[in-house]
Amino acid sequence: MSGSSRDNWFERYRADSEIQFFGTITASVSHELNNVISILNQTGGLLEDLLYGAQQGQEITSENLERIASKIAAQTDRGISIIRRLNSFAHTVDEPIMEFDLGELLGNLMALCGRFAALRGIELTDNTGGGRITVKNSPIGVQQVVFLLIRDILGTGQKGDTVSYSIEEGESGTVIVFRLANGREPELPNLESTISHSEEIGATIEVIVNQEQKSVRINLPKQYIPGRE
Amino acid sequence: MAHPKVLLVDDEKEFREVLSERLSRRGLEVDSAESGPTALAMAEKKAYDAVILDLAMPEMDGLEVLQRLLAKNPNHQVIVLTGQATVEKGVKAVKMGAVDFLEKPAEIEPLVKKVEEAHARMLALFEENLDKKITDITRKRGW
Repeated sequence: MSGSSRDNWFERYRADSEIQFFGTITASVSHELNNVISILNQTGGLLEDLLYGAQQGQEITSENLERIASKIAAQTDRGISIIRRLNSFAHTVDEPIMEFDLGELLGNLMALCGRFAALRGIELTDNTGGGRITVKNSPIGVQQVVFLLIRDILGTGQKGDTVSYSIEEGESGTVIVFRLANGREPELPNLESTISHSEEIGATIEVIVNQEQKSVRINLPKQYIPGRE
Repeated sequence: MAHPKVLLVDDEKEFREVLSERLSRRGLEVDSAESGPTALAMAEKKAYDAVILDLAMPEMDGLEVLQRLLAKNPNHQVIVLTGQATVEKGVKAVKMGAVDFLEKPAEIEPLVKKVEEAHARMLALFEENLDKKITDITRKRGW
């Protein structure tokens, strides 16, 4: 996407980090999948241990078999869920601009970001309320803005912080709202409000930072707003 | 001969449970911790022959846990578990003082072998310290 200014933080990040964004997400997903496979590997090994024990005359109880079957089922479900999210993420680059369900895209991305938040002891709370919210914009552009923002918020955040997100629909467009909350006074990263336009694909993404209210709004206007030189 | 005492540190509950059970079936006495701070508190209260430590954990990174364990007692025998394609972290851990590393998903037999080797080293250290103490005592008493 061409930007209004290469000096603002958003354009600086976007120019250098599209590949990095994909790399970060896929590395995190592969780590999660490796955890699933590790558990399945050990659970399969436990079954082998019980079979070996049975050959030595030890009893295999139905409780043990049920427990093992339950573990395998749970991890398989977890693995399928992770792969579905990764697949959805991969397909967000199919078209430069398209109509998509913003709630689903956001939910998927937040699930992918969940591990980063968990590593910092920070909770991501979905206040979107469910339901389909259709927008026309750049799916990868929206994801990247949200990811960069979450990454910066997690960077300045502390264990116990809560980051909630919601979606507001209006006449002129749709807004994703992020709010910080905690008992203590949380800190937003030192970001400036900025706006990014892409004439080629006809999409605008505007980021509005309010340090006083501890909120960040990502505005997705219905109409493309031409960039100013 | 006493069973080797192992502390297993990993934030994945299912992984801890199933690996603990498999290690117990092989004659090891296993305690487990879901986080670095819990592991450090447990290692203060009980002497373990080996610590099996996952490197990627929330709250406190595995390398920091390793550093703090060794700061308290440089003789801690720590075997780290790394994810795929993070071998360099395992190498870093060994340079920091871990005795070895394995990549997840790790097979049980090599892991048990490393724990038994750690147990043997701890026994040898104990005997060496005991010998030194006896030598000191006999020398002081002029025997």
